[in-house]
Amino acid sequence: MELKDKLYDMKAGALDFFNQNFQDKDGIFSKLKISAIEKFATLGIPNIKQEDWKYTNVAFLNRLDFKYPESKIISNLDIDAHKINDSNLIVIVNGEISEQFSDFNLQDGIEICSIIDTEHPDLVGKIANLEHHFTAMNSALFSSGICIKINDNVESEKPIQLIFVNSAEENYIHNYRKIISVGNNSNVKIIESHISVGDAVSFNNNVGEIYVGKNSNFEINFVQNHFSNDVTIASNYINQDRDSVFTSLTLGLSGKFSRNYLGAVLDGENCTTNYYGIFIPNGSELMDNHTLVNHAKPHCYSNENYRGVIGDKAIGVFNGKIYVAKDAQKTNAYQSNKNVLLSDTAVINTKPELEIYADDVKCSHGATSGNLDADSMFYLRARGIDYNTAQTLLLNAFVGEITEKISIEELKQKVELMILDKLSK
Amino acid sequence: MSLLEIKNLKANVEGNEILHGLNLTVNKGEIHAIMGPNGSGKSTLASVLAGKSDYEITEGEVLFNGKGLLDMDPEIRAREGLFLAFQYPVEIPGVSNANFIKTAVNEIRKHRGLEALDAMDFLQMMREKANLVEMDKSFLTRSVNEGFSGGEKKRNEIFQLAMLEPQLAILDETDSGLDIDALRIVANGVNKLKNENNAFVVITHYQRLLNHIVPDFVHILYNGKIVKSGGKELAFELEEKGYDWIK
Ligand SMILES: Nc1ncnc2c1ncn2[C@@H]1O[C@H](COP(=O)(O)OP(=O)(O)O)[C@@H](O)[C@H]1O
Ligand SMILES: [Mg+2]
Repeated sequence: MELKDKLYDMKAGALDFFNQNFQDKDGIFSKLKISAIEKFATLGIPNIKQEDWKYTNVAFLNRLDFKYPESKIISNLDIDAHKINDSNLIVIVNGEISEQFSDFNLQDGIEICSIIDTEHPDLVGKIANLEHHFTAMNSALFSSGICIKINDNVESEKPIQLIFVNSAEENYIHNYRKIISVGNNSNVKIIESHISVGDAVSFNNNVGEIYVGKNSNFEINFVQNHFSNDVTIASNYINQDRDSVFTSLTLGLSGKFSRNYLGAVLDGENCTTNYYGIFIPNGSELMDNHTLVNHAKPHCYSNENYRGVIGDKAIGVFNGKIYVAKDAQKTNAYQSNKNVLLSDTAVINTKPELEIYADDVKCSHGATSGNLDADSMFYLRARGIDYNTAQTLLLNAFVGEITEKISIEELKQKVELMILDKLSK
Repeated sequence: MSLLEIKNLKANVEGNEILHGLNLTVNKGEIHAIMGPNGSGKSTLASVLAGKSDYEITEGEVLFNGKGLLDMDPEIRAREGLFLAFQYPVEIPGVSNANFIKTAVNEIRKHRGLEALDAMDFLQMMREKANLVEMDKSFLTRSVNEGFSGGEKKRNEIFQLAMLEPQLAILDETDSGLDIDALRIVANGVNKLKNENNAFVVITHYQRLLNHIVPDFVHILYNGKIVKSGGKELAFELEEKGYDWIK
């Protein structure tokens, strides 16, 4: 049986479970779920004949036997490696906010609750695209997740760190839903990590919807340092109001399989959107970044910069779409993806996609893929530095252009160490 | 035992023979100048000695302190005490000069059985050597050669030379592109670093550098071979008569 049919079978249960356990004001969630179930039943799991999934084969999901997890308490958890000390730490264990492991003291104007208790159900499903297979699946099946509400005029003192922990004693599918709503004139930073304990395959299918209010500055860091068995599909949809800044850092450090979708609509004038990312797969890892910057309004600026280092038999995928609407005059949109291949068997598929309907637009994009620069390598070796050390120096410098954008110093240092650890192997 | 002994060295690049059987012996305490017209193979010789992989050695032998140099990886050659000041130093964005040179110094120290330098000693050494080539400290924190002017790059080469204390330094046209002040600075650096236990091979196009770094021997490289050797007066003769004279 294919995954979609298995999941379709689960739908009645999921819906019942949902109806029994959660308040659903105005029936908004049920309505979303019913249409998502129908959608997912039609879409199913994508295959490589579909343009967006050409290089990223998810057929293996059909072969795995997944269960829908029950909430489960974990008594021992070591999250020190991931934890940022100077932060408000929210630990979510198998979907539930864990009082035991969390450590936060939120200032006025910031509220965090489980998605099922949200007072803003209208924000769920509003900007997520149900045409996306896994977003339909998440919308049909989610029963947990988190809602973060930031009021107007909030100057956040500390970053908020979300650590999602999955116990994976059996092959589980986790469908987390996340809503972040930032009011006007506010300034917030978030760090999101996912970790698993246990040996089974943990399949995370996460969907986030992020609303950035007028003149606000919002930054999110996705730290993807997964255990080797994890399968992650993360789809984040962003809506920006005028004069806002949205910055994302997608830090693909490890994980068997990850697909990140990031789609922002610049829905007001004078917005800035920064997408930064690294992906450094090795072994047989696959890391895929699909992004969309949708310039819907004039006078906006977007800057996208992703760097990949692909080793062994790993696969990297980058697809960056820039869409400029007819009315979005005076748009500035920049995109760059540079990749280094460390072996003959490493693969990169990189593709820009531009759809521009306005005529007064500055837009540039560029992609490069190749080996490390031979002259630089020789220069370092000619000074007594061995090949591996030289390679690490050069690769660190290569991804350094991205990591230097990490504004949370403690996170930056942690990530740099994780990168060094991986690249020096 | 000679420091460097090159015997009948022949080297190809992309199937074309560039060095056609070259012989050269360098002893400790000596300064050798190699002069020759453009395209005669000076940089090829330097690159082959430093271990660049684009070249195929078809014949001959190179001994460095009696050991076969051509079998060593480039980093081993450097650790054994060979240094090449590049004609065209590469820019390496994102790698700081200080981090680079520290890594290099400690690799070489390790090879020589010495402890890694601690941060304070290293800083002290960097200051001292930067002074030697009148290089501003700000260059240490910048990326390797990135955005450096031609002269600054050459000074950075001599700074590295000072830091790594090699036994044999090959300077490939370190003087080209330098104004007279920079030339004097580079030459002073070399003269201060020169001692009884090391040796320099100075590749140059012009006689003017040799007013500042006085060679014991001058060799003329022409068409992949050393066609004439002599004392420092050979450089003057060459300057006067031009390269046509040796054809
Ligand atoms: N990597 C290379 N590929 C092709 N030809 C080369 C390469 N390096 C050197 N050559 C050729 O070898 C000859 C000698 O060059 P080079 O050693 O740079 O001369 P010099 O330093 O004396 O000016 C030239 O004809 C040059 O074109
Ligand atoms: Mg040359």
